[in-house]
Amino acid sequence: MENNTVLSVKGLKKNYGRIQALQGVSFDVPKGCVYGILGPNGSGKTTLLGILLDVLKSNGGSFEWIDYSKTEDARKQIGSLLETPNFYHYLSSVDNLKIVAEIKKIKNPDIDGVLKRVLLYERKDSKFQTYSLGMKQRLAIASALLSNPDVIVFDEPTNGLDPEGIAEIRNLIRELSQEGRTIIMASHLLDEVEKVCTHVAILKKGTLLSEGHVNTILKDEPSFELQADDMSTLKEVLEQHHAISSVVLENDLLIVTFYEGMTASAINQYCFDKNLVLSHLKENNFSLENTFLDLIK
Amino acid sequence: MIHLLKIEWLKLKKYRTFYILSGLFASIFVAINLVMRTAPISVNIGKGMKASLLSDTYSFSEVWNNLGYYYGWAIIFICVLVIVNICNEFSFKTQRQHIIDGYHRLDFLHGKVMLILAINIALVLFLIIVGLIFGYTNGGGNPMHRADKIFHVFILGLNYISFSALVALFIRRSGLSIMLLLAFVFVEHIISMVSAMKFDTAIMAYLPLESSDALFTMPLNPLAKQATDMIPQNNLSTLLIMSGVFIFLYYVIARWRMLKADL
Repeated sequence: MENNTVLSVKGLKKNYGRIQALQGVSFDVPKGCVYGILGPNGSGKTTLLGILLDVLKSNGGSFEWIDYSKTEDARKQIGSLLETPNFYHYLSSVDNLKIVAEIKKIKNPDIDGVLKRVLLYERKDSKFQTYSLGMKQRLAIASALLSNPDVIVFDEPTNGLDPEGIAEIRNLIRELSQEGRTIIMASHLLDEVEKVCTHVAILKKGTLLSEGHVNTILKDEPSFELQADDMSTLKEVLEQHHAISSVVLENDLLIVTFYEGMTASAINQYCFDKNLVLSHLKENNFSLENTFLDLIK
Repeated sequence: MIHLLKIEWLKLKKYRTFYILSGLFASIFVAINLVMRTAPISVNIGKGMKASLLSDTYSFSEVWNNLGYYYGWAIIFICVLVIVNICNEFSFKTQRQHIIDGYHRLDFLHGKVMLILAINIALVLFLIIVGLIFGYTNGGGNPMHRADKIFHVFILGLNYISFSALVALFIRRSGLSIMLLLAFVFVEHIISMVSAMKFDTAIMAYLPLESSDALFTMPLNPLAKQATDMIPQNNLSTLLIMSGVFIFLYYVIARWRMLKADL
């Protein structure tokens, strides 16, 4: 076991009747990373986090929070937000956080500090039932930060937030990561994982498809749209390029990707040298999404 | 364990329903006894004479049995309170959140056990105060005579509240849990009465809630009591042992549920 690992998951399985929600998932989470668990709805992300946080029982496999011998000790130290924000509707945010502090056995909880950090301080005495969905989500994040944790688990942390709220939470996650904390985050939003995470595990129907550094899993190779008067010659010429990865004809456009970094001007120059004049050349930024969609197909 | 009780108190102390149901219990319990103390329920015994069926003795030592008997009815309000308290944890998903925040699965159960014990002790203290007031204002006597009934009140309360908590733990919805509790109490009474009257058998000791109900006899005058003596009865030791067995079973089942179930 590497010393810089905070969590090790080995062959986790979970069945709901005949449905296999997790099918032998294994991975390690390095210390200090932002580890994204990416997958479409129903892929097993929340089930996986539920098992790691002991609200669900696995049907096989094991996991270990490396720095803790007991899982309840780990959960006391870890900050977690799983699915929906769960609080007493008739209590204020301060009273709710007092209960969390008691459960986590925090001696001098900085309740005002965490509420300020998620911009809820002004409403600290309002009852939870009067909060908007976004405010409830912020309170859940405040609760996760209450123990000043080294490891934070977030399940869809930007759920229910408006665009401004989403940006704030993503910035907060980056800040927390810069402070040296390890963040494990489930999301079905590729964009979110791409912007926030350093590592990623991709789940599909309970199976781990791929896992590792985000740059190696979700290769950021741009694709290009090309068009010329003679499309068949253009296709032949492009296929002769030493770094070509794929050439696909879609809607009268050639969609081209390269193994090596390639720029639009270099492609234009290459075609011009081959006596081809391009009538259309555009760089696409959706290749990450294509990679993800290819993986979960 | 005290730490778990403190957490339960943090949840309850600003919960309005807690005060409403506690107030309802206290006021209805006192009201029932005030009414029964003077209730003119009697039968004609001939020659124009009437005999009161209900004991009018709220003096010591009868007061402890009389209060205990009516306590068995009023306790339903506290059972509802405990059901709402536990079902809230499921509807708010806070039981799940507690585990996520670091509770061991049994901490949640033991928190509720501590709450039930604390409520039960408070109820017994309340009953003692009411009993002393009734006793001293209705002829006095030795308050320690038949004071074992106070322990029986504790057992009855523990049985009813623990059973309600178990129902809530499985059903997880307040309305359905309360209806099931009331239906269970009703069916138990019917079974107990029919078996005693028709088959001349005292099976109440083997029914979960009746085993504690039967610790108290109906507050009747000595004449009426002679009539009820014809109804088969269990001895107190059997009833106490069976009540204890049932309370222990509730805990074992709840413990198994908490350790095995997905939350």
